[in-house]
Amino acid sequence: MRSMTLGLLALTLASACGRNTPRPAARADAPPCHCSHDASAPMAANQPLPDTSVFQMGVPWTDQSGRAFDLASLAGSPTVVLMFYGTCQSTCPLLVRDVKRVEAALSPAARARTRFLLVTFDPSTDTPERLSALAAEDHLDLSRWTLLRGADHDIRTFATVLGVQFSRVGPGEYTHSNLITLLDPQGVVATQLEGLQQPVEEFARRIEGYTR
Amino acid sequence: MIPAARWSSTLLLSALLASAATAWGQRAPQPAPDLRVIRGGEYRPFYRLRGRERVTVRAFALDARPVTNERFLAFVRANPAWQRTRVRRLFADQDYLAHWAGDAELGPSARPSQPVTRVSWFAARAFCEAQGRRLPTEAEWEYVARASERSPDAPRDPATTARILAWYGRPNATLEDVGASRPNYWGLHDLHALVWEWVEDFNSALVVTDSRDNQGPGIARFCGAASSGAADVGDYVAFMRYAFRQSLRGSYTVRNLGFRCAADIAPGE
Ligand SMILES: [Cu+2]
Repeated sequence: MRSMTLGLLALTLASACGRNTPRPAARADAPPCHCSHDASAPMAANQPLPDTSVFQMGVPWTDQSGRAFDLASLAGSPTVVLMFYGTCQSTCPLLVRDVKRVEAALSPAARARTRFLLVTFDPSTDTPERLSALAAEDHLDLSRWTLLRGADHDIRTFATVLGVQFSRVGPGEYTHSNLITLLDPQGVVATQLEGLQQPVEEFARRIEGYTR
Repeated sequence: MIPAARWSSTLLLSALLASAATAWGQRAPQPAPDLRVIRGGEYRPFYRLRGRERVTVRAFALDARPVTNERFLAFVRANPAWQRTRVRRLFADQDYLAHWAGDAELGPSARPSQPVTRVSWFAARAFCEAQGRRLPTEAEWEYVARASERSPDAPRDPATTARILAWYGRPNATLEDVGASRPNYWGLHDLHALVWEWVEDFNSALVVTDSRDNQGPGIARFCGAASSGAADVGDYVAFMRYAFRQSLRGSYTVRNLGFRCAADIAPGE
């Protein structure tokens, strides 16, 4: 099935070259960000955020204790982000484990300065109570980890900024990208892990660089 | 048979009166002559997840035409944050409105009545929200795109398909003005063969194609049902739309990618 559609796409794009079909495909593999902040020194607290910073989206989020959460409060910390949902029976538990692998790969100093965000696709099921319970079940240290929910509209915005694909396919059931994102201390997408149980060394190396 | 356009404007009037009474208190109904009311329904989509062979669409309203340069110009004048030199790179790439003469000036390469293009998803969404509307969902857009001139559900109508295929093959045609083509069953113009259109969930995880499949063995890119679906690969024009959407990111702008807005209507209207 996959190779069949892939072949067909190659055919269609080839036959469509220079015609009225737009060709963003060449750009689809471009890096998702202007990644010029790699391993830069920690930013000053009052430095303006760059144009591509995810931290300045101004979206109202709510954390696992029901309190308002502003992404701008993450400025200065490298942040690992996963979009997930609590009742997922498929890959989400594995993805949370992968984020924990990133956490475990860090030096104690870097770990203390890094933030870990889990943002749910399913705010109607993942209430603050549910998110708190999930954090407890997974032994997440809430001094570093934050579980967030927001309005459906803002969840779509956030996913789009990160390049996460998702759809709600039924009540309490979603299909979505397996994608973990590293934001640099200014909130710019630095790198992403796609798939499951991928090597976390690159994430760890960059985080160590930001927090040195 | 009642012509679709007249039928839907009658419905629209009652929809507006009803919603004015319920949603906006005593205020007079806003004139919205360019919206068409779309009856709810069900269809068998191009892309089907196992066990979910049909998609249900609730009644909604949709712009009869794609948004024009003129309307988008009014929007950026009122909302300078969406002007070419002010927009955040997070929300639009460097080609955003590149064919316009300036921040708030169309110039010779952008006629007022052409569809606005080179707009990002974020910008399209902001435009619709500024009108109290929203982008249509992929399911809504695909639902109305199945209509021919006479039938609400004729996805393989030979005349429409021929027109779309001819469009694919027309090298770098300049954009016609909106509304030049005949309306479909719902009274909608230019769904096909003028511009591609943004939808709210263009980045749904319903994957019909995957150019990154060859990156390496064993990379599970999706959680859940995405990989269990089946696409109707014989429906070439629908395939092109899905494949195109999946190649986009929210900040991308493309020479022939525009949009139109949708609106909710109360049930029963
Ligand atoms: Cu999942």
